[in-house]
Amino acid sequence: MLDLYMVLLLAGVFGLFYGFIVWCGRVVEE
Amino acid sequence: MGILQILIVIAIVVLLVKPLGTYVYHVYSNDPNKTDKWFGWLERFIYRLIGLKNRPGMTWKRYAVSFLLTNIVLVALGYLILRLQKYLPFNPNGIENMEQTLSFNTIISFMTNTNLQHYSGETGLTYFSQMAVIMMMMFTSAATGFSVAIAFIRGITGKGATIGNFFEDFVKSHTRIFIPAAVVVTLVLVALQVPQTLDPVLTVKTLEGASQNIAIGPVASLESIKHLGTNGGGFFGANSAHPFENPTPLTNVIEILSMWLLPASLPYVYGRFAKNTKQGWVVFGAMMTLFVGFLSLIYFSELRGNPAMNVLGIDASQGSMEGKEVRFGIPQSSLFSAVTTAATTGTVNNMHDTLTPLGGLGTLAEMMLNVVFGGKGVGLVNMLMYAILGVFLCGLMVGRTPEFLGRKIEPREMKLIAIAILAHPFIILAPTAIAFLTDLGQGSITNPGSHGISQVLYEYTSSAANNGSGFEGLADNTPFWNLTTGLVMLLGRYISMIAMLAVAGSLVRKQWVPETIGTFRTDNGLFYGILIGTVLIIGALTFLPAIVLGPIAEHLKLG
Repeated sequence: MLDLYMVLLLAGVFGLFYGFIVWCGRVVEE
Repeated sequence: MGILQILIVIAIVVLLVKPLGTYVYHVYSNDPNKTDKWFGWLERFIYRLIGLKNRPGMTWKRYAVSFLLTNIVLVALGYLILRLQKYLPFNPNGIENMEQTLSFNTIISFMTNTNLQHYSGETGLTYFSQMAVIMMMMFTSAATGFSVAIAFIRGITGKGATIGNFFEDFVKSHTRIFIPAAVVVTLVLVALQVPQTLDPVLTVKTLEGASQNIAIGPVASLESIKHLGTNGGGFFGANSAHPFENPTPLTNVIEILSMWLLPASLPYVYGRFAKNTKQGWVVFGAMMTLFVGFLSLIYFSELRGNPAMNVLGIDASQGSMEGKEVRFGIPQSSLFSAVTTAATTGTVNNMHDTLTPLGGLGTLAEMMLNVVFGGKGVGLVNMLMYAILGVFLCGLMVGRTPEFLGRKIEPREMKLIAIAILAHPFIILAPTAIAFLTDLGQGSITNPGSHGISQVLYEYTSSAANNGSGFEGLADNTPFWNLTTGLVMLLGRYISMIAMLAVAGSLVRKQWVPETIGTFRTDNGLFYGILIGTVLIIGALTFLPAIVLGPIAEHLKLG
């Protein structure tokens, strides 16, 4: 079960980084 | 004699910056050159293997997503191996699977080029994990950092809409830089008695007749890339203090040069891309000035000895030798500590927890600034971030739109740079405060008072700067530390990388502004001073209160 939490935590953080890329893209465009 | 040893190593670095920088420039310039002849065949084979026939330039966003996805795949693969290592080959010592939160911490640690070790290599990892996870990550994390730095340089010095192809840069970093260099350094270390074997632990009889296990393994190959990639850590828990990792003063100098030369050559590479090597030498000069300042602080603090020990009448003529190896002494220990925290390698040849308070402050400050040569590529990117900030501040003072390398610096770039600069102290100071507020954090502190503050501050600073060394008195192999330092390492690595790639993507599309007599020059002595001033002022404003509570208070209490 703890493995699942670790994988979800990693996926969540990398998801946030993808969101940060999108946000930075908006800053550059706007 | 001690200072002479240090000066010789610094002189070697300065002399090799230009030839090495020229080589690195040719690797990434994408112009036909001699290195194509040597490595082109291997790269073409790899490109065919991964289906990368055409290698078009990428926008900054595509470049960022490519490096992020590559890192995600490597993290998933590494986590799986650590959790299943007991069942995989090359496990002659019967080592168990790694615990979940420790696997989480370890895999992040090595993917982010931090190499913080909350385990001891000789008892926590199988030979397969040492090679397939640890060593593999040491190559890929260094190549990722180098690729991003080169892409950033292309962005601020080039024209067009693209900043290179990540996969091409990533492959070239391996084939033309890290693998050839690692092979050479490995063979040199093996020749100098560093072990390289897959044999199990040796069991020997001691002089007293007792039985003792002596850990060995594929040490030399890990040792070479851990320094070349400014990775850190080590095959053994004691890192480069262990005689099998670093047996002599000569291997010590080789290891120092291995971790220092590539980061030191990058400013020159930047100058070549900018078609004005003076730009690169200004950045190199600022880095070296800061380095010599912090090295002096460490060296003279350690040489002076520990006042609390000196009053006991203990011979202080050799300096503060607590936690240091006699074969290295104060000069080679101080230089190693200064380089490992400047280049954010993080491997140690002496125990940083036992440095004098001001010696510890020197190592801590280099990681807090994170621009003194810095890790693979990241240090240069951070320093150029401060260079753009310095230009911006000067522009504000004279009421002129700031320009950097012929491009106007506008709110969009400053917004991204502000985030990258402020993220670093935030991800250090916020978790440090949380650790003090919770029993989970406080329970691991083994030194009461100011040194306890330094221990926690050092752990998060090292994680955020992707360094990996520690004040190892901290009992940090617990779920609390594994998870919090894991998250800090991730944020410390990717926020600044993504933000600076966005800055590069923004600048590369801009119209060049012709240089006039009123243009603020960034290739002279004045800018060298401004750059150092900007770094120190921002660093002091963000970290001074914390270091006053930690190492400075401890120093004042020692008398």
